[in-house]
Amino acid sequence: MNNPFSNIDAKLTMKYLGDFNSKLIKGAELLTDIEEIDVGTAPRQLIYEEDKLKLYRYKAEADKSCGVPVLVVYALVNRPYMLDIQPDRSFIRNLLKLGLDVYIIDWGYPTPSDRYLSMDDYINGYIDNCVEAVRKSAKSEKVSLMGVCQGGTFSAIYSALHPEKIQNLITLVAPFDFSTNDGLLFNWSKTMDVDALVDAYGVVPGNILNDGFLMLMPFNLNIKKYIDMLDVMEDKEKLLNFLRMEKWIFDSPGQAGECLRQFVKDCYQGNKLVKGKLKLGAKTVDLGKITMPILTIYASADHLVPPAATKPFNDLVGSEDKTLYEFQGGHIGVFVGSRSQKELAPAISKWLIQRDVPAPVKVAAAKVAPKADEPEVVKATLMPKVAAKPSSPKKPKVTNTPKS
Amino acid sequence: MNVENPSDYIESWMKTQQQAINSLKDQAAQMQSFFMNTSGATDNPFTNWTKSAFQAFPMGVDATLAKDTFSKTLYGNDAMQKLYELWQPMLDAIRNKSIDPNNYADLADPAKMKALVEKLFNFDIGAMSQLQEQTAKYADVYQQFGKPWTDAWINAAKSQSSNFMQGNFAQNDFQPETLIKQMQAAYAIFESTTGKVFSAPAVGKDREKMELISKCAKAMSSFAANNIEYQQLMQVTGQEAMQAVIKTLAEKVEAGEKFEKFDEFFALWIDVNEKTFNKLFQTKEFSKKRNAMTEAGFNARKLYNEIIENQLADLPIARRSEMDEVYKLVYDLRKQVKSMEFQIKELKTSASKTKE
Repeated sequence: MNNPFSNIDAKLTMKYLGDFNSKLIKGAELLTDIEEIDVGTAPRQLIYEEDKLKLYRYKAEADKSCGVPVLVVYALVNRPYMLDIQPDRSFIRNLLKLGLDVYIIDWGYPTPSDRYLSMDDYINGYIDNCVEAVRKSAKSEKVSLMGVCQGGTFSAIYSALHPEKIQNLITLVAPFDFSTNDGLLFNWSKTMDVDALVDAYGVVPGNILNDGFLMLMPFNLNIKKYIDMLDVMEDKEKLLNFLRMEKWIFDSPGQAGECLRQFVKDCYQGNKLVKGKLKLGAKTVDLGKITMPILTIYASADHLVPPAATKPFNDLVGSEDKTLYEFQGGHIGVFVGSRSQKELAPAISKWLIQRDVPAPVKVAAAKVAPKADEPEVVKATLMPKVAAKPSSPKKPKVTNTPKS
Repeated sequence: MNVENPSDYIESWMKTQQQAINSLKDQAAQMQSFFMNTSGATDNPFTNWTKSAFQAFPMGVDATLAKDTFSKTLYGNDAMQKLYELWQPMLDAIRNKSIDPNNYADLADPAKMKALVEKLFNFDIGAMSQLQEQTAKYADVYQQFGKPWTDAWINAAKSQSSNFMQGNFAQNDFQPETLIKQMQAAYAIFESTTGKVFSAPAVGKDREKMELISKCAKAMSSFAANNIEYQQLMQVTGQEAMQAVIKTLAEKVEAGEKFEKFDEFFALWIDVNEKTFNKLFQTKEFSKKRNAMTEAGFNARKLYNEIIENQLADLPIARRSEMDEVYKLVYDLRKQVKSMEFQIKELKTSASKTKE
């Protein structure tokens, strides 16, 4: 009988099953031993909070290499500790080791009372207030914005509306051109009735969006991943790493309905950002007004934000100094992949240092910044708006320079 | 109803709800019966495969052994149990050596397939982890039980037409559109007969409440219809994936390749399924059907919430819509306060500058 399974040896199978059982038993023991799945462990201090939002400043791990602070703006979907998922795979720690002064926005978990928050509130409200808080805290006239995924889109919009406050703009795996059908999310969102979704829930539960993400690769993400887990079950560190990622995947905050409604309608369905028709409050977003140096990072195998959604950004901005950087990997691999640990943070740091201002500039109305161990928390109040000089590129034009 | 006693009120209201649900269930059962008894509805998507499998199967498989085997290897797993239930008619047919397509009607049972597909695609992670564990345990008895199955696959592949070998089931007697067309026809019949009751304007006292209940019932039936279409699409794709796995196995046989480990087969199974479903997910048809299903669900949920609100109106508790008004007010006030805080700060800054 010509049977593709006839080579499966019974003895080998028995040995496999024996090993498998041992792994299961040891894994079960390990699982019961693990009390806490620690994530986001890089030391940091709270410097500002408003409503559910918290702004943190990470404790420096090396001599300062860059005068301009970096403000990380994460997506509203999922939690920002992905960037610091475990000590040896931490994008944040890598940046800190290279001497950057890093701040991060934690959006928190919206509750039903946040259903009316709009994109305008997030971008012209929260992000603007955080930028002001960072300027004050770091005594810096300007801030470098680093937006991740949807946070990258928000950062670009903010930079177009407030270019005078932004020294550099870095976006990682962020969507801008929503006309593409390369990614399933882009495909599905185009015909999605977001009104029905938002009207039914108010604050859209995170697990509804999460189901959509898992459905992008249902067999790998719902079956294979857990089979593969069996291979690492007897190794506590590896098992912990797996559990950290699991924790992150299913730690999905709800989405403020009005913001989600506008993001889906105006971006995914209307592609208004690229068309120059996106309105936030009374202002229209013109990407041509982004004149500061920009670094656009995309992942070649990104199944969530395909390169086609990111790459056109550099052609739409008014900046002369613009860099397009291709990372060989997927959407999450950009932050946790082993190559990323060696490659990405050094590239970003180098790019920033090349464009740094000679020395920190004092802000007229700013107080003395808090010391690392003496946090000064500013709660639910707006920072005084400080007039900033317009951006002037310090480096010559650099375009399409992947893998620096 | 006695609104002064919330417990009686809710109990009475729950009874009414239960009656309504029972009525809907009866109707659904009738519709189900209609689907399955309509000529052509039992077009068995597996006919081609099962015929060949039967012909190729040299020996009878004892159903008890099969069941025991499955239960040993897949114990406690709902998804796998449902998969087994789905295939049980075919096992029976093989044992009885009968090829009556009616025996396979369950294979096209939307409810069973729906339950299975829901397990897979509604992402019940607990069930999924179990599924993986038990899938791995399948190897435990593979040597005992798997071989006849494999032989059947191989024999079937050999004895089938070239179309079968190429995986072109759709070109033969399998017409996935048949089932869905009948469902649509049934829904149209329902709409033009019993469904009219739901569209008829209510009369008398509580007219608005009755209309809302009618609207909600209609929205739920719309969700059910859309959900069946969606599940059917997933079911058909699942079948395509299965055929693609068989085809790949047949190609391996032809090429003289063999699996060294069960993992290799599992990897192939995952890969083929993922690719097949990904191809579906890329289509406009999928987006359209999935969105129609979810939209209908959201709409039904919204109307249901309105009914609940109506029912709770007389009780001294805050309702969703009232809380939404509060949230909106808080949101507007927050913005005003922030704006004023900002103005005060600006004024203070400018005043201190003027002093200097």
